[in-house]
Amino acid sequence: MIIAEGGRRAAIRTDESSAAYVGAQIARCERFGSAEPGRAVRVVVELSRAFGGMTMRALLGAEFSPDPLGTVTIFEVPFGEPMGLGAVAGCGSELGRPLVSGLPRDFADAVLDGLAGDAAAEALPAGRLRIDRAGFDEAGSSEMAFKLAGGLLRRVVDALLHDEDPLAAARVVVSGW
Amino acid sequence: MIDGVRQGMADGRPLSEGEQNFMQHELTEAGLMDGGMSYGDAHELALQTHPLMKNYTPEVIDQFPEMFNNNWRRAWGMEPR
Repeated sequence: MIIAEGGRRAAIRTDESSAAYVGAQIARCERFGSAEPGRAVRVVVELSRAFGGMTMRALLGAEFSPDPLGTVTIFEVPFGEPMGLGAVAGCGSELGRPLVSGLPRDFADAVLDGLAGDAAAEALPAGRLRIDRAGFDEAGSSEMAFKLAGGLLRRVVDALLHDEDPLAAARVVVSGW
Repeated sequence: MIDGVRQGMADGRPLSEGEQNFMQHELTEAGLMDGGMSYGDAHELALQTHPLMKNYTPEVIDQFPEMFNNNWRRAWGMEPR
């Protein structure tokens, strides 16, 4: 499913196996979780946003695992070494040229910011939302791109957990970019 | 970037390398899109008209760190953040 509003585009899919990665370190935080029952959900989001002479790119995927006995939602973002140049772009993209699989240290905090949301963000059910798919572009990826992708991913997960239309939810987010 | 280019032209100073690359990129992209090409394709072709990640000035890259990753800084010989 692809959303396109001018130079702002997003794609949502159930998985992107070429974006699977394992990070040596993990950025983590937690928020109060809601008492409503959750269920396991997996989804991948990708964004591409035209911005002058550059195109912002980011891809993130996560799995939500409910914890019926828990009281918090844990957000986990595994990450690897700082970004360099010349990595093989083997991660499939629905919005442009292939990306590089994985999440460099450069973007981990931004992902966590977007994923955990601000104080006004509605709580997710108690459980764990762990990033395990990521793709980046050596020129187009940035902290802002990954913060937007984290926020989009959170909203789509929330929609899926509440049996809402994820495409409609994502469209609202994309309109706000 | 555009404000800087406008001011430079008004002052009569030569555009810097980053400003020239920026204008080259934007004018190429606009021309291709005026001819019916999609933004994505036009952007990819415009990228070939200047050194990669040198179509913004070091000052702008420094001013908006959330927008430009460390590879943009390295392209200009700047220290990574």
